Amino acid sequence: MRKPLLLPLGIGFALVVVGLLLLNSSIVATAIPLLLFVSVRMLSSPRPLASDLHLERSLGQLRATEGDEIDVELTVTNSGPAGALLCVTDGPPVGLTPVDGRVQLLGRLPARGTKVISYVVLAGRGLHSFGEVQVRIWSPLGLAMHESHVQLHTAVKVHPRSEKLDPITIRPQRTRAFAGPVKANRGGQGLDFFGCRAYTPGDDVRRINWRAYARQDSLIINEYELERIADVNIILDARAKSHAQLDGETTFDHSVRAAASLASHFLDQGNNVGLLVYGDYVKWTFPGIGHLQQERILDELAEARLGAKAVFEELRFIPTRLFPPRSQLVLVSPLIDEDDIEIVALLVDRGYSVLLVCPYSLTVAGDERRPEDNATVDLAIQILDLKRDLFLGSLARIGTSVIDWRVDEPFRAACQRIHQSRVRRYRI
Amino acid sequence: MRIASLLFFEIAAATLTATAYSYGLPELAATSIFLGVLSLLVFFRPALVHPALGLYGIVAGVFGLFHMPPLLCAGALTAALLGWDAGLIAPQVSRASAEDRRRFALGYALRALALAAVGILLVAAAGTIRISLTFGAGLGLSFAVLVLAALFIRTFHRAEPPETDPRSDRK
Repeated sequence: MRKPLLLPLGIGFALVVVGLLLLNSSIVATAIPLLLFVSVRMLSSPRPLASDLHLERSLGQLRATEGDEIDVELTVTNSGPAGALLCVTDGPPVGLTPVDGRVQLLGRLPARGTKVISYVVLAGRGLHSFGEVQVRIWSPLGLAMHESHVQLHTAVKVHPRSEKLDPITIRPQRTRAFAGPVKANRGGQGLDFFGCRAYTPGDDVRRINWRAYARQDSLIINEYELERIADVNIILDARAKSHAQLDGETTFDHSVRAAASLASHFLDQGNNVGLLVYGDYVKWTFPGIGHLQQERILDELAEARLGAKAVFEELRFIPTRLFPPRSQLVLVSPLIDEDDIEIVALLVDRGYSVLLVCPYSLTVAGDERRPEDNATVDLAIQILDLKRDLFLGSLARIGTSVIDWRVDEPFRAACQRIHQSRVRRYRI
Repeated sequence: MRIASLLFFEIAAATLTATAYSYGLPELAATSIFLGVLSLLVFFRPALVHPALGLYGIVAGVFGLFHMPPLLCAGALTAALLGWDAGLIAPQVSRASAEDRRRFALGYALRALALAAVGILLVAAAGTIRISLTFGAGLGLSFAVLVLAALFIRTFHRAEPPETDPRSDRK
């Protein structure tokens, strides 16, 4: 309020001084409106009205999923005896884009009156905190204005969007003791035939293989493959160097969505799921089961950010001690670095079963250096595809399952394709 | 509000131009026209209101130097001042609905014109009083200006916002 008035005040005094020096009354008279303006501004203060205003913000939902629309309402109440000409501006945080309604109230609020600012924001992933509300109140004459900022914190957590996936087959070397959907590679109670063995007292007589008995003249029983829950740890690669900028998004955003889909999928199956975000820092969500764990993981994914720290530049420093030995690891990473194959091989050597999710996009279309010649572009795309096939082939050869996901298609479709190609192309 | 700002600046330029022409000073009229054209930039770049007001102040001073009628100079400078003020408010209310902005701009223009009328009337009254600026009167006026400046500075220092901000009720 003070600073802008310095200009007319300065001009006014300058005119007065020049007028006096030159003994010119016209110049002195010219300064009168300026000085009058500043005087009226200084004397008519709207400040007493400010304490009579009450602000209250309410959100349609405090937890949302990426892409949801959230209703925001800011109620302004004037409990004072006089009306006020005011301008109230609510500032939605970055990541929540207003799509409908107005974030500003401008007009006269009568005494004991209430007005509501209501608008709709489009939720982007993250933990968003609504901050201060800007309130400007004009004096009754509308000349002086008082500006204040009201702290009105309201937080909303926006989880990444996830997809419902079809069953994904994982084969970790070690499973847990509880019944679940993962084949344990051990004989016992189950649905799928696993093998035969000699009968021992106590075995269920209904499992005796009578044909084998007829051939061998000794009791043989059928065994079925045990189905157990498994430890599944999802590693989200959050290194800035691994990810590419797409139109308005990065491959990291897609990676987060893939990690959310996978976490939800494995938790729905009853598995023990943990999450490691590897990038800006190592953020570890201890493995657990159930909906609460799903909320924990989605909360972490909501806040996941890219990082460019030198210490996490290589996957080599993934803290494998956090993961149970011979458990299932799901690495969500574009893996652009050839050296990363070595790290994945190391994980496989240590007994982990590794499922690799590789989101990628050919960004040739949006590249400014894109040549005019379409044939050249097609050739470039073919070369990139071949290079990628070789890269993924080398990953498959070291015993890794790969979900090769081109981000312009649904993740679910990519998961379905990998089941076929895994048998045909990437089977070890 | 940006339109109101531009309108006030153009009124100021038109007043100066008409005054200069009627008193046979085409150079000053051309300067005023140039100032009017320059003011168009205010519509596109609201930050230019400050230099615009400064230029109008200088030109009004020059007009006074040529003994133009103070009423017209003060009127032009008042219009420029209102244009400057409207230009400052424009970005602050830009996110309100068009209807609210229109209503606010209309109210603002009416109030501002009322104040401008008071200011111009004061200038007219000062003109009729016809104080001769002799050494004694000039010294007295200088002293009055100094006292006024001191009062302003004191008021500025006191104008820190008190801890009476609107209260918030978090839901």
